Amino acid sequence: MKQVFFLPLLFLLACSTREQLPSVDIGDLPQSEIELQKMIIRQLAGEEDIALSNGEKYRLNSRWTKEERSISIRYFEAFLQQLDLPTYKHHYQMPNSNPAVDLLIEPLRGTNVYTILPASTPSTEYIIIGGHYDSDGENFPGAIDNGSGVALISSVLRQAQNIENRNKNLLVIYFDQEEENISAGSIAFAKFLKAKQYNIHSVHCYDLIGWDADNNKEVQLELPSPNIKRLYQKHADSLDIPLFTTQAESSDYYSFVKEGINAVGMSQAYAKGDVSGKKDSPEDKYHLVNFAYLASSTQLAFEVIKELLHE
Amino acid sequence: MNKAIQNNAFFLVPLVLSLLFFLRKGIQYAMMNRYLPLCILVVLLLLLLLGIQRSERAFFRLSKIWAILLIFWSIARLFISIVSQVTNTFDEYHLNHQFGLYGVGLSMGMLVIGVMIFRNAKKTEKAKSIIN
Repeated sequence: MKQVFFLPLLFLLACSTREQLPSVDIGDLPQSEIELQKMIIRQLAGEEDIALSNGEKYRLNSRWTKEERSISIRYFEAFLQQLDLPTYKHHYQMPNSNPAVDLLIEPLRGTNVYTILPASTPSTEYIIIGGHYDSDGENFPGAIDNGSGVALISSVLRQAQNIENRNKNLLVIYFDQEEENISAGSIAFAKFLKAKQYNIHSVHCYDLIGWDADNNKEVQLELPSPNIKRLYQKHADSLDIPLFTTQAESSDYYSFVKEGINAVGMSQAYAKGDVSGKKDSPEDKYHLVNFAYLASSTQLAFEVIKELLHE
Repeated sequence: MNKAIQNNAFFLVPLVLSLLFFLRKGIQYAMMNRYLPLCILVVLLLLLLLGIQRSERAFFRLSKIWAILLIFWSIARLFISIVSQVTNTFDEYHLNHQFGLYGVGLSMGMLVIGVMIFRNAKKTEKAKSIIN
């Protein structure tokens, strides 16, 4: 009779077992922004090993499996630690798109990683910048999609630390599971923000920002509100960056728009066909990234965020 | 609870395990405002409780129906696993994982549990009817 109670207990214990992974040792960060971005994409897209605290090395061939995404999370933790910023993890689970499927399988589980750079003067308002860190398949390195977006927001964050008189908080987030078709990470985070009643000025999502075949520095803005569009246009003009807008309703920014939050997406000019052709493939590698283009796009993003933080 | 049910660990343990598994699933989804799995389980539990109150026969009959549902559940999952492996259907990790090795293990486990419940319910019911 004891088995009746013992076996279910054993079963529950087995279900709760979690694998422990070591932390990441990121070392000193390069001084220049472009070198920082190169380092981030090199390591996140499997061009270079990531050093672990136990002395071992780990090569991220993709950021797709649970283990690879866990290592990526530890990587962000190490990066934020280098910037003396706290790491917050937003664990979420989401039901499947069809309720009948819930009976068959488990919900989607993931972890968004974020930090908050506080305003220099007390403020409850937040500017949010984000990009997804997962890649689209096994052995897909995701250098451009979306190592480039991750590198962009990481660089903007570091530069923002040097902005004096920040009148708003800057929340920087690395989204999980954008590639799981439904942008699960950003949907969960948008709901989380709504539930916690965060006072959000705007959300800026950066995705696919490393390819510029015609070297014209052109960027694409997705679904911007008129104010945000004006702001990006103003800085794009001053940086001599061509900019156009689309009304595409997909990816992370749209998760926030659906929740009634002022959000915008920025990417390379893929609506005009400026894509590598290696997206979502094992060939989306480090050497494909146009770092000069990434730098000009980062500059544009930084100028916009700087002005918003100053407002 | 009747002694015949209590003493038959090969029937009771798989039954409790399967109910716990789906209870966990039901609560998990209910916390995400999805109530279908929990509703189904609650209906089943109520039926089992009613069955136990009414007669052993009714209880075993309901257990057998639960076992058949479990077997169908496992076979459906195994079928999707096989098809997905052959056709490489799922490029999403979430689905790939659930219908991969881990998923096959879970489906096989539930299949065994379903068969155990069915066989032992049948056996116990038969033994009882001979005694009576």
